[in-house]
Amino acid sequence: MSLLKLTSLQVSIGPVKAVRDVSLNLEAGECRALVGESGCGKSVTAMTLLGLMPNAAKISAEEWWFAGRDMTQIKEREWRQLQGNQIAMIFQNPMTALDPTQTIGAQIAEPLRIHKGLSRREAKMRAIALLERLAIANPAQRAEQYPFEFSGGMLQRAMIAMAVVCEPELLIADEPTTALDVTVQAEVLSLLQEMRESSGTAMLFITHDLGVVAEIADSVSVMYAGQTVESGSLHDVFSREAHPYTQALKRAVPSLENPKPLEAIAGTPPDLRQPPSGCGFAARCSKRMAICEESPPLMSCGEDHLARCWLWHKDHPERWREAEAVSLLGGKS
Amino acid sequence: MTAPLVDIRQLRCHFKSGANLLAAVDGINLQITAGEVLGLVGESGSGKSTLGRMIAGLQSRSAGKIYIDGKDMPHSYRRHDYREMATQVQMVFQDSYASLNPRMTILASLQEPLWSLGIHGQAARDKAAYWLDRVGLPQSAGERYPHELSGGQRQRIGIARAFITEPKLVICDEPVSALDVSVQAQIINLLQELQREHNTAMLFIAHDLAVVRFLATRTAVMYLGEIVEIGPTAAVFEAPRHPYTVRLLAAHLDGNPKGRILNKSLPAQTIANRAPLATDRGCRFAPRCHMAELACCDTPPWLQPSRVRTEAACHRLVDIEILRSRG
Repeated sequence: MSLLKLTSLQVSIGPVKAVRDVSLNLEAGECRALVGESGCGKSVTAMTLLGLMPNAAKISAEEWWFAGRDMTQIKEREWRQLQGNQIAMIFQNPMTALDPTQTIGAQIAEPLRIHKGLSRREAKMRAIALLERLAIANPAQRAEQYPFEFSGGMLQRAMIAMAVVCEPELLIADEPTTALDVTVQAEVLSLLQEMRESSGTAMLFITHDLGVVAEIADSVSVMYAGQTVESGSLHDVFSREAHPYTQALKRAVPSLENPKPLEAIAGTPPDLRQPPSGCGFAARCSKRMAICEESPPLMSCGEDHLARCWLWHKDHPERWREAEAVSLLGGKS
Repeated sequence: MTAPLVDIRQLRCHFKSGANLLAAVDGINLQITAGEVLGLVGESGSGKSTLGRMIAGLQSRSAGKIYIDGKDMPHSYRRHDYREMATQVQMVFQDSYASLNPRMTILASLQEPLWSLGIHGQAARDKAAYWLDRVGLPQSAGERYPHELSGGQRQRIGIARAFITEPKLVICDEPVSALDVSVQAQIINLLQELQREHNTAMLFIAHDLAVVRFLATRTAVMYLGEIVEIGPTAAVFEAPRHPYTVRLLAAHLDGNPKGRILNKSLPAQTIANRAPLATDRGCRFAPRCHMAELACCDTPPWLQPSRVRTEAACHRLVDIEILRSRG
C-alpha cells in the first residue's frame, strides 16, 4: 500500500481556486518531484498535505490516505501528532522559517522533546549529533548559536536537521535550494539524498528547476493552473513527455551542453479566480483542438504514466502516431 | 583595433565592515567592446552586481578608472553626469517591481528617461508607444500601474525603459532569475533580439550558467571580488582552466536524468564562503581549492593567457594542464 494517496484534491482560498484537481501517489521511500511555475498551486498542495492551511481555506478531496489513515476524517489534535513527526517540511527560506530568538540547537531539539518525549539534555545531544552528520564543523558550539550567525547554506542544513530529526515517513521540501548558490545547492541536494537513503523517508520535492528534478527524483508530477497535468517516472516525464505543457517547458529551458534557440511559451497562466472551464493550458497550447473547450481527465499514456490532455484519449488518431514514434525512438517495448 | 566601449582599470570598491575593509570589487581590469555580450557569472557575494552598478554610476568606487567611449568617468556622478550617461549606459534590474515607480503609469515610466534628455510631449509619447509595442505589450498596458502587471510584463517594461534612450551599453543584473521558466525564455529571446537589432553592448550578470552560455559571446567568472577566468564563452564552458570555474560548472544541474552528478565525488565545501577583505594575501580561492599549495596562500595570482584564448588567474595552471592531459 502506498504511503500517500491523494485523489482529486481541491483547495480554494476566498475567490481563488488555488488547487483544482491534484492527485498524488507516493510509495514509502520514493522521491517525487512536484514541478510547476509560481502560482500553479504547488506550495498550497504542500501546505495542505502538512495541515497548515488556514481554516478559511476550503479543502476537499475524493480520497486522501496517509500511512493507513483517512486524512479527510482527521481531527486537529491528531494533526499535531503528525506534524513534524511523521510529516515534516523543509521551507524555501530558512531565515524566515527559523525562530530568530532561539538557538539552532534548541530548535532542532524541539520536535524530539514534543514527539518523542526526550529530555532537554538528550534532545540536545541528538541535535548536535545530527548537525555533525550534516557536515557542520564544531556542532556543539554551533548548536548554541542563533540563526543570524549561520550562512545561507548552513541555515538550510539546520532546517534539514530540524525536519529529519524525528525520522518522518514523508518529508516535504518546498524549493529547498532555490535561494542557494549552485555549489551549495549541489551539497544540500547530496545531503538530502544521503538522508533519504539512510532512513528510507519518502520525499515530495517541490521545485520549478528541471535540473534539480533530474538530479534527485524517482518520479515527477507536473502541475499547471492548479491541476496535475502529467505524472510518471523520471524517465517517462523527461524523455517521453506526454503533455504539451511539459514539452513546451523543456524547450524553454537553456541547456549548458547544447545552447540552441529557446522556444518561449507564449502568453501567461490563467487567472485562478476565474479558471477556464476547459483545459487550463489550451490558451497557450500549440496543439489546441476543438475538444479542449472541455476539461480533460487524466489519461493513461503508458505504464504508470498519466497526462491530462485530450491527445491521449483512446479515440484520438494522433495517439497512435505518437505511440509509434516513441517505440521508434527506442522507448519501452 | 578600435578602442573598447568600456575600459576598466584597476577598479576597486571597498566597504567598511566593522574594523575590516571589505573588498567587494578588488582590482578589476575589463574591456567591453561595442556590440558584444559579456556574461558575468559567480556566486552571491562575488561582487558581480557591485561591478555592474559601478559601471552604471550607481555605486561610487574606492580606486581605479572607468572610461566609457574614451571619456574618463568621475568617481561619483552629479546630475549632469547622469544625463550624459543616459545615452551611453542603461540598466535592467532583477526586481522589476522595485525598479518602477508605483505611482507612475507605465507610459509615464517609459517616457521618464526621454524627459531627462529633453524629449517631451507627443514625441516622447510616440516613442514610448513604439517601445510598448516592441516589447510585446498592448497599448492598453500603458495606462496601467506596475502592480497591475505580471512579473514578466514588468520586466518587459524594464527592458523597454533601458533601450528607449538607445544606449551603447545595457547592463542586465539578473534580469530573469525572478521569473518563471516559461516567461524566462520569452525575456531572454527579447533581450537577444533587441541586442542584435540595435547592436548594443551588453553586460549580462547572472548566476544561471546556462542562460549566460546561451546569450554571451564572452564570459567572465568572478570569485570574491576578482575575475578568476575570462574568455570566449565556448572556451570558458568547454575548457575551463581555473579550479573555481571547473567547480562551478560541475555543480550545474543540466536537467539530464542520465548524467546525475551528485553521486560522483564533488569535493565537499569544507570552508564556507567568506567575505573578501582588502588585507587578504594570496589567492582568495585557495582555502577551497584542492590544488592549492604554499605559494597560493602567499602571492595573489594574475590573469594568464593561454592557447584556448581564455585568461585565468591561478598559480597552478601548468600543473592543471598536465594533470588534464594525463586524464
